Amino acid sequence: MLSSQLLVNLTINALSVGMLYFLLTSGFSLVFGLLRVSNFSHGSLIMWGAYMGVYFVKALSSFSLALIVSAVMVGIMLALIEVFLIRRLYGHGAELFQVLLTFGLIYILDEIVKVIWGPATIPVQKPAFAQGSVIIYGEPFAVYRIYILGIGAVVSAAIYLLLNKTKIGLIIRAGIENKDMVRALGININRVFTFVCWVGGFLAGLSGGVLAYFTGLSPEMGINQLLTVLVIVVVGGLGSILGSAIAAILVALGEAFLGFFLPELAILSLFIVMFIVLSIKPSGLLGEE
Amino acid sequence: MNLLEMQDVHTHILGFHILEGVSFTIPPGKLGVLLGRNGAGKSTTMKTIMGLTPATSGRILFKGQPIQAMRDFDIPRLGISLVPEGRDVFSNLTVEGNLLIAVRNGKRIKKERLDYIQAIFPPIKELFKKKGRNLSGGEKQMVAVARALVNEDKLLLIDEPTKGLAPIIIESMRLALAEIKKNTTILLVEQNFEFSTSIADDYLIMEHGKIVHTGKIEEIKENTEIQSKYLGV
Repeated sequence: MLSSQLLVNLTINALSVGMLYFLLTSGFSLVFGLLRVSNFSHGSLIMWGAYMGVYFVKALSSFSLALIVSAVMVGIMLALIEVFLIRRLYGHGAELFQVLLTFGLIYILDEIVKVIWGPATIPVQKPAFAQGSVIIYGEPFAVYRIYILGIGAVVSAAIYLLLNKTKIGLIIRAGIENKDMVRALGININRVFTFVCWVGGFLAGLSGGVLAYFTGLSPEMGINQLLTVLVIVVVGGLGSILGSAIAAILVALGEAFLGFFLPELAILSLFIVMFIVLSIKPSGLLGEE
Repeated sequence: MNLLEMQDVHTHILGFHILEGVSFTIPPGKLGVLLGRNGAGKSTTMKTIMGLTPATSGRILFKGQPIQAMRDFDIPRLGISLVPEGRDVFSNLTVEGNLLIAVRNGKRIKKERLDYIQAIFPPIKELFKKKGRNLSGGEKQMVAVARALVNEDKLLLIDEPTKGLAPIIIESMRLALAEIKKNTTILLVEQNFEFSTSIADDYLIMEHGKIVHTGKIEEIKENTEIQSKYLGV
């Protein structure tokens, strides 16, 4: 029987995992929404965020500052990838080349990590402030998960403000709908593409920095996350940030409650949620038909 | 000096030769209407001027300055606005957002421009918070033209503003364009012959990617031979 205490615990844990999933996914969704490029190297950028985040925590002795610095650097990586590589492959008919390019980048980015940090898994200890647990509604709750909820809330608010309260957000939303008209208004949309890639990379790097303290560091962590990212993006509806946020929470709740009631199906929960959502709405929760 | 001058402009799209040597001039302060059957190349002419389907050869001069090799997003900054055929109002943005995104210098619409737009389209203020997707065809056309008026541009390119609109809306669009042409040079693409002749100063007829006739609008009003030969009127 599910007690109210356990229900609260499962729900809060699921929300924190959902926030983490949203962080992992939001950058991919944002970039796909505007550029219509499926960046399969997103997982590798998450991994770079994780490695650089841990490296900078040691170098800067500040957890939050290290996360931001590594996220900024991963953002710059994706912006440079956009300027020098992806930009050559815009337009209809180039989708296969985009897939090949971004898949190729996975190998390059993953191998560079192995060269710099080695191929072995590296355990990572949570920073002192994030260790331990607090009691919420009579149940212990890991402090680090509260930290993730906080970061998730801040990032969600920042994305909302960026897209809805700024001129660049106006341009991004318009560009998602009709790039030619945006150009016809005298706007250099290529610069907007680069900026969006920087933001997408920043989000990937930030989520990687957070993820590292859950999973530790390994050169496979990016490719391992890619599947989760892709499923959440599809469930949310391609290119919809809000859809990704809802899907991330839904997937995390599915994992938590299936894991509790039907533990043998927990490993399939990602796909069960996808199956149910796509059976009802093939374009995803907020995807356009 | 002419405000706009096309000199033997050719445009290819996906290997098809669409504009086959277009030449014409638009003097300042005039409203020129580009007439012709479907597929004649009228909309491509507009897009070529804007750099959206770049010219493969020939020269396009705006205020005497060649613009055919410029980047598409630099051309509007010279003072040219496009109202495209499909209106292309951003459905995810509010009407206010649709106008704000067009502002080139600054973040807000200048008060005098907003007053000017509201004087031409009085109902627009009521629509400010409405999303583009919730507008009627006439409202979309109004927003598309208003968006082109946000900056004090010298040349307005308007592609089929009456397409799919009810007669009463067409009449209000005619009145709006009559007001706009007092301050702005306009190149209009239009299939509605009556509408065109009621508002234009000059006409240009296109066929098979070329200009085949030009003149004062009064000349074509009575010329049934040209009307039936090129326009199917």
